[in-house]
Amino acid sequence: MTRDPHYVLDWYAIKFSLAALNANEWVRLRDRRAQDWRKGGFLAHVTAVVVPDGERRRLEQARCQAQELALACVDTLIELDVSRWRHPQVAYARARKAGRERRRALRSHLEDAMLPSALVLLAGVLEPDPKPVASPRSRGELRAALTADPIRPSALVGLVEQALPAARVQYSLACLYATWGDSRRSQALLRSSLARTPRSRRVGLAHRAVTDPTLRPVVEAGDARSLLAQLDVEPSAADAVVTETETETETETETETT
Amino acid sequence: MRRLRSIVVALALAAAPASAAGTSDAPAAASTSACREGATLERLDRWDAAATAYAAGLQVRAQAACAERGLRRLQAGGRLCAAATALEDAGLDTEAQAAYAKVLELQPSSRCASVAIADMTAEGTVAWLREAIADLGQFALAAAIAVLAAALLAWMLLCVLTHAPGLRRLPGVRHLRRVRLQLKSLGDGASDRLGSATTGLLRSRLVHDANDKRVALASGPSDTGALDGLADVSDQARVIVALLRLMRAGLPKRDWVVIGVLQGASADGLGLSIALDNNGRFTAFGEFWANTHCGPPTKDVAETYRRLTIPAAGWLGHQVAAVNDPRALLSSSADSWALFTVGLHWCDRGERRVAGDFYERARNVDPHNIAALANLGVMAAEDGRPDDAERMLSRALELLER
Repeated sequence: MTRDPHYVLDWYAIKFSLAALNANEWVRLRDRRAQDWRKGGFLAHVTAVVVPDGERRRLEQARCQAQELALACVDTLIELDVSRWRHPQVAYARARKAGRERRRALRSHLEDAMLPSALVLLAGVLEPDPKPVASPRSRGELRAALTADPIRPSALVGLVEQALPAARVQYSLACLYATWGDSRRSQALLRSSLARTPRSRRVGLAHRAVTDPTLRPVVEAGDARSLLAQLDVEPSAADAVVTETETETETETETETT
Repeated sequence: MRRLRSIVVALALAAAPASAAGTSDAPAAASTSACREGATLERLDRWDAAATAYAAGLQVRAQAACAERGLRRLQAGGRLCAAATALEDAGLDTEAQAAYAKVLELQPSSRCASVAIADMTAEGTVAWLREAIADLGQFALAAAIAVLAAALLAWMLLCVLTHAPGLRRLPGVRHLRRVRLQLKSLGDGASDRLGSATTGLLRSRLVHDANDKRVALASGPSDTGALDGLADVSDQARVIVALLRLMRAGLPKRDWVVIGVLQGASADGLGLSIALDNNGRFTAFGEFWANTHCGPPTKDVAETYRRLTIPAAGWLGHQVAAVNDPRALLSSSADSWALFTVGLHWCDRGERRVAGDFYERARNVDPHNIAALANLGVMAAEDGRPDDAERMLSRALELLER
């Protein structure tokens, strides 16, 4: 009896890590090229215009892996939704792949964490829509949206925002809106994400937010000190975080944790 | 002329019955005789026949008054219900009820018939209830026999399902033979207190692992004695409990017993040895030492044993999962998995370097340990080594999909 990877939670976690790794690398290479453009002389201007192969490869891989991940999530959820009375053969095959307890855990993990994260990640490596489009209303429509050409990121993000996403997904959304230039929305999402994160992890997330190059314009635009004070982050930790934003010079590599 | 005469004769013949019918008084004559017949029968004390005759007289307008008077006379004398009462006294209830019904049909206002029928109906209900109660006992007996037969059939079916090689791996059937892990108190030469405390900690870690959906391990203490309270309720409950125990005893199962001992100080520091016993047969043995399985050194003995329960629980959990659902395993080696769980423990506490060391050691024991590979890949990504991270994560994904 072989193992169906789509019924193993770790497959989704590893796939997401891989996609996020490529997305982060693409962002890092792109930002470095932008820095070269700003700092460099004539030659740097000329070379910075050309997108290097490495950067293009990372982008393609991130896009492909995020799309595969989102499609796998949707297909598995569709299979998990199949009625055992109307489609007994599918239900029997499903039961052979995983027991009831594991199927239940898998469904909640995919619905609450993995699918929204995959959609946000995919939206982040696509060209933003000039005009927002309607979000898919069912899993079938979502599947069609994921296989459409071109994929419309605003539809995917709209779907994620319809339900109250987890704090971690909200953080990713804040990063996404920051890259799309919507600072106000990004700040609101960041605030909500920090507020909903357990207090024991809040300082760590705040530290990540202020050192994240993607969120830097958002944090700098708002009053970071008052934001952290409102969220009950320890004053010493807040000071450390704010000080770090002021002295931060190096570009951080990550935009999304794996 | 002859023809005309024949037509007149035919018309006369055709008209004759019509005129006879229109002028006949035959029913009146019949009813008159019926009324007289009723009076005669009444004089002869044949009340039922008299009532029938009067009832026939009621049908004719000319004799209706006579017949009605006769019936009233019979009713006033209580003679209308006499025959039915006699039947009832003779114990012929059905016939008596029919007789009363006939009286009511003849004289709907008959009080004696109405009262008698009401009484008989009530008596019928009581009799029905009596019969129903008697039947209920028989039904209960039949139900008990049916339950026993069904239990016997279910037991036979379960035996077939759990023994047949082709069927025992089917969904649902697989879980009939779940491992039941019974953790005996770990022996401790120095003091029982430390042994029992370490046992409790190990047991709690095992339960935690069983509830951890990511690992999907199944383990827990033995559930013997769960039905003892039920047996005290009644004799019937005792029978059911005995039946269930018989069924359970007849099914193949994996009753595992874990025994172990806390090892004193040695070249590798303090230790914890565990042996796994399946139905009296030795199955596996694992040993965990402070210098190799504890992470950062500590001089606290209790803390050392507490840390040693982490790889021990991982090792036991792997043994159980390997039997329950081998497809869920991310490593084929229990020793590698034990090292990985120690790494996970230190990673949760922010000791990334220690965690990385344990992941590496887990990978050295089992190069195909998917979990260790994936976590090393994530750590490499966080440390800014994207190429290493990509290589490890891709390898982990490849192993998982294989």
